[in-house]
Amino acid sequence: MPVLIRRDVWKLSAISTWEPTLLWYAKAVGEMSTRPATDPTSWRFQAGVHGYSKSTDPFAAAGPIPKKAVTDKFWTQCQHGSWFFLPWHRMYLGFFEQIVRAAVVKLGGPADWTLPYWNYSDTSNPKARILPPAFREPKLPDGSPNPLFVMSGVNILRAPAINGGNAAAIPDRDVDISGCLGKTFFSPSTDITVGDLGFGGPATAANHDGHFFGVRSVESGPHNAIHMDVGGDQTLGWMTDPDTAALDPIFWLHHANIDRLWAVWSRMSTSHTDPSVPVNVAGRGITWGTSIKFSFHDATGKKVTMTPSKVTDTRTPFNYDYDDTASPLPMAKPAKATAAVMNQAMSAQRPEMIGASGKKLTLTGSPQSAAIAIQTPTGPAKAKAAKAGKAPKAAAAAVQPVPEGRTYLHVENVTSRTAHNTYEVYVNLPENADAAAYKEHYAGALHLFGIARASTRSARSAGNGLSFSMDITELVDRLRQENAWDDKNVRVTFLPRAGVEGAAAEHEPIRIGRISIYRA
Amino acid sequence: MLAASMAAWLALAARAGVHMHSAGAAANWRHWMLMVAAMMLPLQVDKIRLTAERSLWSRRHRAALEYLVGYLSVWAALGAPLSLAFTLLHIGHRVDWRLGTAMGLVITAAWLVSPWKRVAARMCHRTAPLSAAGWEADRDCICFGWLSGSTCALNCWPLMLVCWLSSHSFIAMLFSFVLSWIDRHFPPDYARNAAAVVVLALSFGLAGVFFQN
Repeated sequence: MPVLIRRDVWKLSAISTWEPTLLWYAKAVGEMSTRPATDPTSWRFQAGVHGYSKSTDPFAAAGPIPKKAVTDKFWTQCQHGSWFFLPWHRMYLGFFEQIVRAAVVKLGGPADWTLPYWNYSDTSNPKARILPPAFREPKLPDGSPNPLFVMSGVNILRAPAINGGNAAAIPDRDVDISGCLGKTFFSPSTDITVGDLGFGGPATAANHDGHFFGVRSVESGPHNAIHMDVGGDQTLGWMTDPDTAALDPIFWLHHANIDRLWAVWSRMSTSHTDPSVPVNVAGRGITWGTSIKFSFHDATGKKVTMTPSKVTDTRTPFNYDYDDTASPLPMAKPAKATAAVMNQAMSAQRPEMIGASGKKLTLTGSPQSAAIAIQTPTGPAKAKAAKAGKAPKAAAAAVQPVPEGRTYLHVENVTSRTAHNTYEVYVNLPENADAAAYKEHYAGALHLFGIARASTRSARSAGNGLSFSMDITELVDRLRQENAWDDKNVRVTFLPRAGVEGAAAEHEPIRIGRISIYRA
Repeated sequence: MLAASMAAWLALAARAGVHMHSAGAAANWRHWMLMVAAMMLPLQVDKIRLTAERSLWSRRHRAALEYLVGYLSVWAALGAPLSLAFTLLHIGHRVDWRLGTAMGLVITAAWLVSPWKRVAARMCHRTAPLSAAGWEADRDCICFGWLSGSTCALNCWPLMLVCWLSSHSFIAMLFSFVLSWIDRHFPPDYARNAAAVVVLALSFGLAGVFFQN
């Protein structure tokens, strides 16, 4: 069978709103949503594999869920804040696509149906950030309710601006993929949770409730950002919560794009390889490709298990590829050997803490700042700087390249059980300044996907909340050039993001445990 | 840390033949703390490293030490009433150590399959923000140690109960340590682990019935 190609939803929508791939998807979603939740090929079961909580289930009254033994093994399994994020979701999408394809065939559709992807980062398409029209239409062409908009009589909950087709509902910054595609390694080769967490996230054991995010890893941006933008800050949209996200049919197109970005990154350079070295995680040696098996169901409802090593190539075992995996970034190709050594050195760096905020911060909708007294590094960061400075650069690079020192801003233990509003983080922003005039002070955004679950103590979460690691090296360099950087004091400001409707609203508290600066 | 644990194991091994049921509460408490050092310190290596890495480089050793003070304080506080009870209730005289071990293991197996065990195991991963400097940093490191000690006690109490009911038998301690190591370092399969613990309990129970003096 030829390789099946997943296509850009906006290219399909340009042909017509109800281009057959999308119409068959809508019909298959409708068909799957009529199946009982106990059926592994039903819409509710498939969504439950990602996450489930009875308290947030919009279909709780629609029929029983599977037995506890089944939900314990197959539900609430999504991997976040982890190097398993990408492979787990590739498996999840692969089996889901097979299930949808079987439903399409059952309804009389094509046997080569594939899941489209939503490329919101496509700068050549002015509509790229708009939710595709098939997901905004209340009715199908035959006049029946559109399951991509209304599911089993329940309106799919999204931000009003998203359902209204407003491109501004997703800011440019949220679809910027230069940060993640610019990463030179997949995951750190140690169990660090602060510093450069690579393209694919930190090395962990199986990790349902993600806690640690590199702000420039693919999981943080664009993944978490799009979840929150589609679901909405003020709306408890389905996409904002891992327990309801996969109920929204756009979830799958969003994740197909994330999966595509993995393929893009992998094909950008021969030094972009998947992790192969075991990492000691809390006393356990974990090998990314083989240590952990994940469980799913295939299109026939049969149980299947798979390890990440089986899904490093899109063509096996799921036999698909994308219509576009060209990198949008111009990439200078360093000499292979040097790049490999450099990547290895960077992926193993343990950063040194050089300062932290003294007290906790509570965000409720207004700007908040924290002052941090920082010190000159005295440990490994100092030793590395000395090593880098000793030998002439060219000679040192020829023998053992030493990566440039990096500076990281770490926002730790961000917790809230009810609010998930997005905050933008600025460094040394003058008091009461208009942030729009200080773009060079922007460090990144806190996209709080999954914060409620991560803040709740349970059998699946210690309640530590979310933590974000931001590489601010270039930012610090820029501020130095402008004389806006002080080697002793740093001021970090959190600005609530204003929605398309206007100013940011007040909300329930979001607490930040500590803000710290690290040097590696 | 591992050296301290090893030293504690050696001290315990040297006292393996000593009957603790004849000792006073203070001696029992010292034995309890030795047991905690031997069994629990190796499980704290990652937390201690985390504490050090989240502190300024210049105070990483102090931070680690403060964490340990907080951590061990929990066990010391728990050990005091238990040691007193052990002496006053004459546990060592009333319960054969093998039967005591079997009883503790049965309780351990029940704990492993209870829903609370999963929550308790997850709580072992709790973290706390640490101040960078000054007395606030000292306080935070001690509090983090105390928090970890509390969650650790919540998670591992049945294994310590095994040791207590067995009159601090060296063999029971070794088994408890291996179980706690498996619990921490292997993918959790509580049903399988509970089944293994039941088999172990039966073995000790039978040995207690047939071989007690």
